[in-house]
Amino acid sequence: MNDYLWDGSGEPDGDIEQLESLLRPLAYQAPAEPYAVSAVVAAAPVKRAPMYQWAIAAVVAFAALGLGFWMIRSQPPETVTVAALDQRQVSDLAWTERVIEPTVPAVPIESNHPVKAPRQTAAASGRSIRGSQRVLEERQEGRVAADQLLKALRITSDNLNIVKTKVNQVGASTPES
Amino acid sequence: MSEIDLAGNGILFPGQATAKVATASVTEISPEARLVVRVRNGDQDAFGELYGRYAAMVHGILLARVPRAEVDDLAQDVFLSAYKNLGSLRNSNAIGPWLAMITRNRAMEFYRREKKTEELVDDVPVRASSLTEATEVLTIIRSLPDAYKETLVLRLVEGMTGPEIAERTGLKPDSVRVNLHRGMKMLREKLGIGVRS
Repeated sequence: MNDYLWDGSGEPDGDIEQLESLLRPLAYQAPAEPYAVSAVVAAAPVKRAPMYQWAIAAVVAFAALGLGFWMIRSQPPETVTVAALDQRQVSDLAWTERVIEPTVPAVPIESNHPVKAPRQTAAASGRSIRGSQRVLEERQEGRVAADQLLKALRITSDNLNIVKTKVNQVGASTPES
Repeated sequence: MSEIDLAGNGILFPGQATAKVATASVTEISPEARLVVRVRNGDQDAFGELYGRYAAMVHGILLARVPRAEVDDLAQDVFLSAYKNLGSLRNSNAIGPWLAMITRNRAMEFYRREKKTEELVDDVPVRASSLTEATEVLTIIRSLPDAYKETLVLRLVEGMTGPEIAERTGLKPDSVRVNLHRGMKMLREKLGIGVRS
């Protein structure tokens, strides 16, 4: 093989020299100033994630939403007992007759009328107690359902944040080559 | 410098996405590898030095594949991509072959985005007759097989010697020698100049 073609040594080849002379103007021209990578990076356009990545993110978001609701629905409902009701919940039942201790009204001592114990209300009966308990249970179930819904929304929001972070990472790390 | 063996014994490499490095023969860190380490430590000037060492190679590989008007922009893309993804380079000694691979991939991506299958013709002003002739010869070189046209452009246009081409691109010296010889033979035939054995 012609050494001149390999490493430029030996007897020059006329054709090769002619081609070199002809093609050299097309060669890379080093810039006058040193290459500044910071300037290139700063001038590079910000690449947005391709459409398919947004589609993947949407699918993952919907899957996360469905998973969140499935997790909530798979949880056993909380058992509500009357004993678990606190005073606050009991006091909320403004229209419900409550079992109260019969009280003796304050009557002046000098009154001549004998003091009679007030007649007990219907709430004192067993039937009213059971009704009020049922109402309290329903109220508690409603609160539990509301809490579960909030929990599901919180889980979904967390999942969406994770998806968003991953999409940004994918978009940022997507190579040019 | 370690031997770099691309699939196909270095003769055919378009589309090859990986470059194997014979790490067993590497016993020392090359100057380029030291630059890579410095860049990873945040030394941007070191990347400027890497640019200076490999710009001609990147330019030549692109010139062999894409229109001249696109070469400079694509070269910027290549180095920007290399800068951003330098952390993924496992062997710092293979910075040259790695850059060459990115360059070839970028050239392929250019045609995928442009959705053009035929060779693009450079638009050169008529007044520069020598440049027109050079562009015509370049067009003929581009019509050769990928392995031949790349080594011929690096040799005849960028002025790199065979050993330099082997070192920078990671091809075996014998592969480069064969590509140069066969490529030159085909070029002579197409140009109608003296064919030498």
